[in-house]
Amino acid sequence: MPHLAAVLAGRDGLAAICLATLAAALYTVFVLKAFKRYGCLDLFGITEIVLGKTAAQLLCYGFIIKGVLFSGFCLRVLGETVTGVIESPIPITAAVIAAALCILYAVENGLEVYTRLAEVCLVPFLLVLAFVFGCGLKDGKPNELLPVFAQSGKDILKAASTLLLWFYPIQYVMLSTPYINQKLNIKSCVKAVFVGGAVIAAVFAVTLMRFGTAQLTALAYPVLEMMYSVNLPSSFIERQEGLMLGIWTTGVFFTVGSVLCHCTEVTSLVFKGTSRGITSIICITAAVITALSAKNGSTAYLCMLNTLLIGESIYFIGLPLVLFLYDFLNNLREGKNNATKNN
Amino acid sequence: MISKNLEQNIAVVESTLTDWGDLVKRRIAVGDESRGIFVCYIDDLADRGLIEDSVLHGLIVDLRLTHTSTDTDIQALLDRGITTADIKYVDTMTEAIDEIMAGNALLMLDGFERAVIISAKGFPKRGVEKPENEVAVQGPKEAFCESIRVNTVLIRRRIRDTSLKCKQLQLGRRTKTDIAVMYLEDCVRPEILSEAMHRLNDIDTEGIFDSGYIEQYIQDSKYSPFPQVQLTERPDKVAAELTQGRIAIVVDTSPFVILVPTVLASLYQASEDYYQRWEIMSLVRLIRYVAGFFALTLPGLYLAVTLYHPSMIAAELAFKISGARSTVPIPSLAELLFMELAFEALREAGIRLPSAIGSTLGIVGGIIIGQAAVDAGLVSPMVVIVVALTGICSFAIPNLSLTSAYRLIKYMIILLSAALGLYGWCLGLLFVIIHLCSLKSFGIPYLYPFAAAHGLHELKDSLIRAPLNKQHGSIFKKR
Repeated sequence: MPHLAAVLAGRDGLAAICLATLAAALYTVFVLKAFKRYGCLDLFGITEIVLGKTAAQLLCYGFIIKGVLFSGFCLRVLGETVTGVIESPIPITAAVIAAALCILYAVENGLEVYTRLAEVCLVPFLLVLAFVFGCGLKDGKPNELLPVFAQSGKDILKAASTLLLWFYPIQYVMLSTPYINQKLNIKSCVKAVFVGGAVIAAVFAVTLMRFGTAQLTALAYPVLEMMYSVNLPSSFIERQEGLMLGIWTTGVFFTVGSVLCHCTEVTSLVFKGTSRGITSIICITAAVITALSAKNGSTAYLCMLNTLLIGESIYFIGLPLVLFLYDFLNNLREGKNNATKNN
Repeated sequence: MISKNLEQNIAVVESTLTDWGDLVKRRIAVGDESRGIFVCYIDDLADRGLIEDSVLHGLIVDLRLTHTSTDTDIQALLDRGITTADIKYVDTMTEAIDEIMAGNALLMLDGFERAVIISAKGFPKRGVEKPENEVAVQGPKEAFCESIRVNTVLIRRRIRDTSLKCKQLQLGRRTKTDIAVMYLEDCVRPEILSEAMHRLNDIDTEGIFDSGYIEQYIQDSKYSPFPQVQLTERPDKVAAELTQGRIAIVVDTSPFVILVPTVLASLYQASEDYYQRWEIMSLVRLIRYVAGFFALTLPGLYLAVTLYHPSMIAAELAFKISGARSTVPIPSLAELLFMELAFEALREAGIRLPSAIGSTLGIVGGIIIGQAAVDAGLVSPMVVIVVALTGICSFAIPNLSLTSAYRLIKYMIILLSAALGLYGWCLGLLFVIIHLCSLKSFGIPYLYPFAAAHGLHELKDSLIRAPLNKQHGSIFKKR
C-alpha cells in the first residue's frame, strides 16, 4: 500500500491517503443512510428490488468472479512472498494450498467466526504494527515528509480516488446486514474507516521517512524491507521481517478470507439449496486454480491490482451509486404519478 | 401397584431381587399378630442402625394394628412410630425397588396400599479431603468427594441464599445415577439453564459412572479437543462461579463437579487468584497465558527455526544449536518427536505409580535418562531444554483438560512446522485460533471476553485480574 501511494502521488501520498479516508468515511455515511430504509436486505437484495432479478443475478455472478480472481491473485502473491522473503524451500503450490485450506476452514464456519477472528487478532496486529513503526522511526528522516503538496491538486485527487478503492471492505457491511442482530451502527463503520485510514497513513509516513520517495516507489514491499534492515540491540531474533511477514500473512489471510467468505455467501444465494460447505469448496478451489495459473508473482500482483481497480470501481463505487440514483428517480416518478392521480 | 396383601408384595420383591445375597429382608409380626410389616434393604448400602433405632423400634412398640385399621389409621400410626424425618411414600413396586437399589430401606405393611421409603443411605464413602489437582497455597483446603449429598452440602455451606436451587434427576438406564443441577435463580440466564436441562434430559445411555461421561454428552462440539465444560474439585470455586451465573452439575460417584458454560478464559483462572492481591495474581495470570502459548507452540517454533530458518535467529544462538546437533544421528523431527513421546510416557507413568515412586521416576527419567541420551549423542541438549520447557509451561495451566488439548494440538503444529517451516507454524496457530473462534459453550462464544465482549471493562478478569471492587458482572449472568 505505501508503495502504491508513493507511485501515485509521491510524498503527497500522505495527503492522498487522508483525502481518500475522508472520502471513504463520507461515502460510508451516504451509502448506509441511503439504503437504511431497506432494513436487513443486503446489497444484492436491494439490487433485486431496484434493478430486477436478472440484473441482480448477473451482478452476483460478477461479484463471485471478481472475488475469486482477487483472492486467487492475492494467494499467489502471498505464496511468492513467503517463499521469497523467509527463504522457505517449500514450493509455491504448497504455500498456496496450505493457506487456502486454512481459509477454507474459516470460511466454512461462517461470518460470525470470521468477525470473532478479526476481533481476537486486531490487538496483537496493532501491537506488532506499533513495534514496526518504532523500528522504522529509529532511522527515519522526518524531513522526507516535506514539502507537502508538491504535486498538483489534480494528481493528489487522482491518487486519492484510486486509494479510495482500498476501503472496499466497507461494501461487506452492506452484504452482512442480514446477519446483524442489532441496528446497523453507522458511527462504528465510520470509526473503522478512520482507524484503517490512520494505520495506512502511519505505515506510509514511516516508510517514507525511512526510504524517501524515490526508493519507496521502487520497493514492492517497503515494510518488509524496512524490517529487514532493522537491527535491534540485544535481540536474539536476527531478522525482524519474519515477524512482519507473520502479520502480513495474517493480513492477507483476512483479506482473502473475507472476500471468499462473502463470495461463498453470494454463491449460496445464487445457487439456492447448495450447502455452504460445497459453495466454499467451489470458491476456494477456483481461487487456488487462479493462483496457480498466474505466470509469476509480479503478474499476479498486477492482476490483483487490476481486479481491485476494476472490480471495486463497479461494486464498491458504481453499484451503490447506480442503485441510489435509480431508486431516487423511481421514487420521484412514483411521487409525480401519485400527485397526478390525486389531482 | 402395591397390593394390600403383604404376602403378595413380598413375593414381588423376592421374585425381582432373586439371588441378591446382600439383600436384608424380614417380615415382622406386629399388632394383633395377624398383621405384619416387611422391611427390606441392601446390607451396608443402607444404615442398619438408623433403620433399627428410628423405624423398627418405634413401630414394634407403638403399632397397634387390628383387622379394622384403615389406611388413614395406619398412616397416622406410621407418622407416630417412625422417628426419622426423611421418609416418603411410593405407590408402585417399581419405584419401591428403585429406592432399595438407591440405598434406602423399604417398609411395607399388611393392609396398606403404599410402601414407605426410609432414607437410610449409609454406604461407605470417602470423607472431605484436600484437593489433589487444584492445589492452592492460600484458601480453603476442602475438595469434593464421591457422595452427591456431601458435595451439595459443601456448596450450600458457602451460599446461604434462598435462590440457590438444586434440581435433581437420575441418568443412566442401568446406573440411575443421581445428578444435581445447582444454580442461583436470580443470576443464571434462563436460556442457558433450559439448554443445560434439555441436554441433560436428552442423555440416553446405559450408565453414568463419572462427571466425565456427562461432559462428553453435553458439550457443544464433540470433535474438538478443547474442554467446553469445566471440571473442578473445589467447592469454593463452584460457589464463586454460581454467583457469576454459571450452573453446577453435581454427579453422584464423582469427585468432580461440572461448571457450565465455559470459556477459554475461565480455564486459566484458579480460585487462588481471588484470595491474594490483584497485582501479583495479575502477573501470575499473564504468566499462565504465556506458558499456555509456549506449551502449544514452542516445539513447533524450534523445529521451524532450526530446520528452515536458522538465519532468523542470532548467529551465536544458531551456531550453538547446530553445534549441539552435529553429533545427533537422527533427523530433527524424529529427535523432537522421540523426546516429546518419552516425556508423555514419563508423565503417564508418573500418574499411574504411587506418589513416592512417581517422583523417583521423574528424577530418573527426566534427569538421568535425559543426561544419558545427551551424552550418548542421541539427542541434542537444545531439544531436551525445549521439551522440558514445554512440559513445565503445560503444568502452569490450571486446568488439566486444557493442558491435554494443548498436548494434542502441539503435535499438529510440530508436523506443520516440519513441513512448511515458520509459515506452517503460523498457519497452525491460525487453525487453532479459527477453531477456538468457532467454538461455543451453551451459546457463549468460547473466546469471550477476547471476542464478543461489550467493552474493555469485560476484560478485567481475563488476561489480568483487576481489583475485586473494579470487576463487573459476567456474560453468564442474567442482565
